[in-house]
Amino acid sequence: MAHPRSWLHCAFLLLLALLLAPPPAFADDASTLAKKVFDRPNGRDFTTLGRMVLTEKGRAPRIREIVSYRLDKSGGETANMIRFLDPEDIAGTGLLSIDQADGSTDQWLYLPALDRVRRISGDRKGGRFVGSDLYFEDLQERKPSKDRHRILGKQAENGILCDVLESIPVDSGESVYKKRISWIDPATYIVQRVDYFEQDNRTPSKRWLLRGKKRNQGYWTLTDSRMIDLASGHETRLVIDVALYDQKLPAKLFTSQALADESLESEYRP
Amino acid sequence: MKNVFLTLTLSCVALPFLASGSAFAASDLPPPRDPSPLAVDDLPPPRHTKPIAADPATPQTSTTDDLPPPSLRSRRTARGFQPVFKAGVDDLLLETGALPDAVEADMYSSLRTSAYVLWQPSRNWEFRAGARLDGMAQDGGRADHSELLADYSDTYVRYRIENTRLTLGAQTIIWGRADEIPLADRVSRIDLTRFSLDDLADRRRAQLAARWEQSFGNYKLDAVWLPVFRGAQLPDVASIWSPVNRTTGQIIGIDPALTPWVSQARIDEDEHGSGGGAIRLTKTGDPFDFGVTLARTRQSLPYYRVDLPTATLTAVHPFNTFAGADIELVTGGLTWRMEAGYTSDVPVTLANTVMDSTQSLDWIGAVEFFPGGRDTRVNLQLVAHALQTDRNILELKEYYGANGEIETTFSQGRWKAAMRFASGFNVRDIYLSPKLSYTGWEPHELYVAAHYFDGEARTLGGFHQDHALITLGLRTRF
Repeated sequence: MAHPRSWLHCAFLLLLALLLAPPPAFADDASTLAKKVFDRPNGRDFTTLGRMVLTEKGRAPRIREIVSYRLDKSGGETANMIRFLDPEDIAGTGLLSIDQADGSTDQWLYLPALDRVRRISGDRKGGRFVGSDLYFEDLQERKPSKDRHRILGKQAENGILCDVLESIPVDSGESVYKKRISWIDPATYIVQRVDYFEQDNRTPSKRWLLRGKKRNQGYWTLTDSRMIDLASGHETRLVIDVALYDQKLPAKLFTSQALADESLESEYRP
Repeated sequence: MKNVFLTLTLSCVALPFLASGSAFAASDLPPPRDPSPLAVDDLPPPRHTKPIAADPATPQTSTTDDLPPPSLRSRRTARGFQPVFKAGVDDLLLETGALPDAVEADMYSSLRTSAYVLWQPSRNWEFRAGARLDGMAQDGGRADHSELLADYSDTYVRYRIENTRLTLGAQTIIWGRADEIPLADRVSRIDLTRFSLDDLADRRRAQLAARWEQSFGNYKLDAVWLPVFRGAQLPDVASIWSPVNRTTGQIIGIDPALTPWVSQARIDEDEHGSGGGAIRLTKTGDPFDFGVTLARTRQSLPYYRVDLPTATLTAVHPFNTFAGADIELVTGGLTWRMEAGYTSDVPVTLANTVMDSTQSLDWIGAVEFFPGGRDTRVNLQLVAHALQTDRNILELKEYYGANGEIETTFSQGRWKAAMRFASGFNVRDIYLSPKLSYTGWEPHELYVAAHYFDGEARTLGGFHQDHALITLGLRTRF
C-alpha cells in the first residue's frame, strides 16, 4: 500500500509537469494540422505549365514561363525539375532538385550556354529565385517536423474562417525565417495566406496570398498566388495555366541527362 | 505540506486557462489583413502553350464534400512528341570601348551576332544550322584596323534513340567543371578574337566533330572525334588582342626582351590533318559527381615555333595526350570543384629558340558559395601549372594563381554587379574586370565594364598591360 505522502508527491509532480510542459493536446492539434497540410493529396506526380510575373509599381511586369515536374519516389524522396521557356535570355535553363528523405536537398543547374550541368548548393535558402520575391527556401518542401507549431486561433481569410497556425523552426539556423504564420482552410487544408517573419517576430516581411484554386483530376490545384514583399511592394505572382496529375512520369525525367536535353523532357509537357 | 497545497491552488487557477488553446493564443493572433482588392486579371495569355481549361473552377469557399468525383473525361495528358521548328538570333553583342593606355588605338568596338534554324521532325532526328558574324574596329592610334568575319556556328545532324545520342557536324563541346579554364576542355575550339573579355561559353566556337553520348543510369560516356582540325579563331595580327603584338614586338608568354624582331616576322599557320579524339566518362548523383577524361588531341590554341634565320613564326598545334579526373560535391553550403590532369608533349622553346616538348601537371580547385545564403555568388578558383622539365626554356616553368568571380543582384534582379579577377601567386599577373549590368529590360542586358591588366613579362596580364579597356555594351537574343 502506498504511503499517502507518496501519493500526494506523485500528484504534485504530475501537476507540475502539466504546468511546465506545453499543453499536449494543443501542441498535438497544431502538429496534426501542419501534417495534414503537408500530406494534402497532391498526386504521385505533378506537371505544371505556368508563369511567374514580377511586378513593381511604375515598371512593366517581367514574365517568366516555366514548366515544372514533381515526382514522389519511394522512401520519402521527392524529385523536382523546373525549366524556363521564356524570356529568351534564360530560356532552356533548368533546375533539378532531389529532396532526400533525411531533409537534405541535392540540386543541379543546367546552363544552356555552356551546355553544362552544375551541382549547386541546396542551402542557398535566402537567395531570390530568378530575381523574384520567392526565396529558394520557399520552393522547397518543408517537412512539419522541422518546425514547432502552435494554433493561434481562428480568423477569416479569403472569406473562409481559417485556423491560424504559427510555425517556428526547431533549428533557427536552418531557415531564413524566424517564424511563419499560416491561415489554413480547415475543410480542405489548403493554405490561404502565409506571413513570413525574417527580421523580428512582430512584423512580417513577406506575405503569400492564395488568389485562385481549381479542381483538376480530383486534386486541388493552387492556380493563382502571389508573394508580396511588404517593405517594397514588389510582387511575384505565380499562375498555373495547366496542371496534370499522375501522368506516370518516369524516373529518367529526373536525371542530369534529361536536364541537359530539353528534347527528352519536352515530351512530358502539358 | 503547506507549500504543496499552495502549489495545488496555483495549479487549479492556471488549469482553465491552459485547457483552451484558443483562449490562450487569442492575443497572439495577427490583426486582420487589409482586404484591399487584388489587381484585376490583366495577364496576357502565355506564349508557349494555350492554357487548357481545367475542371470547372470551384469557388474558394467550397469544401471537399461538395466536389464531384474526379472525371476521367476531364483528365489531360502530356502532349507527347511534337515536331519543332525554331529560328532566332541566339546572340547579339554590340560594344564600344575606350583604351586609355594603348599605343595601338584609343577606341575598340565589337559586333557579334549569330542566328540559327532548328528542326526536329521526329523524336529521333534533329537538324540545326547556324551562322555567325564577328566584327571589330579599333582606331585612334598606330594600328587602326577593322574587320568582319563570317563563320558557321553549331550546324549538325543529331540522332537520338533511347539512351544514345549521336551528333555529326559543327559543335561546341566544352568539357570540364571549372569556370575559367577547365582542364578537361580538350575538344573545343577557342575563340581568341576578344581575348578573355567574355565568359567561357563565348570564348569557344563550333568545330567539325563526330560525337557519341551514351547514358546508362547515372553514368554518361561521351566520345568525340575531330576529323578535321581547325585552330583557334585568332584576331587579326593588327588587333590589340592578337597573341603577337607587332607594334610592341612581343609574343604572348615569351620574354619581350628576346623578341624585338617580331615586328617584321612572317607568321604562318600549320593546320593540316585531323584533330584527334577523346573520351569522357561522368557520373552524376550521390554522393558526388565525377568525371575522367582521356584525350589524344591537338589543342586549338597555337604555339608559335620560332625560326630565327627566316624570321618566321609558325603557329603549330602538336598532338598531346591528356589524362585527367574531376570531381564536384556539396558540403555545408559550399560547392567544391576540382580538376587534375597530366598532359604529354607540351611544346616549349629552349633558350636557343629550338622548339622542344615536355609534360605538364595541372590542378584546379574551386569553391562556390553564397554568403549568408543570399543573392551574392562567390566563385574562387586556385590554379597550378607545372612543366616537368629541367631544361632552360623561355616560358614560365610554373604558374600558381587564383581567379574567379563575385557577382550579386539587387533591385529585384534588375541590376547585376560582378567582378571577375585573376592573379598570379609566384609571378605578378593581374586581371580585374568589374561590370555593372541592367537586366530589367528582358531579354536585353545593358552594361558598363572595365578590364584591367598588369603583370610581369611572360604573363597574360603583362602582355596586355597597356590594353586596359572601359566598355559600354548591349547584349541580347531573340
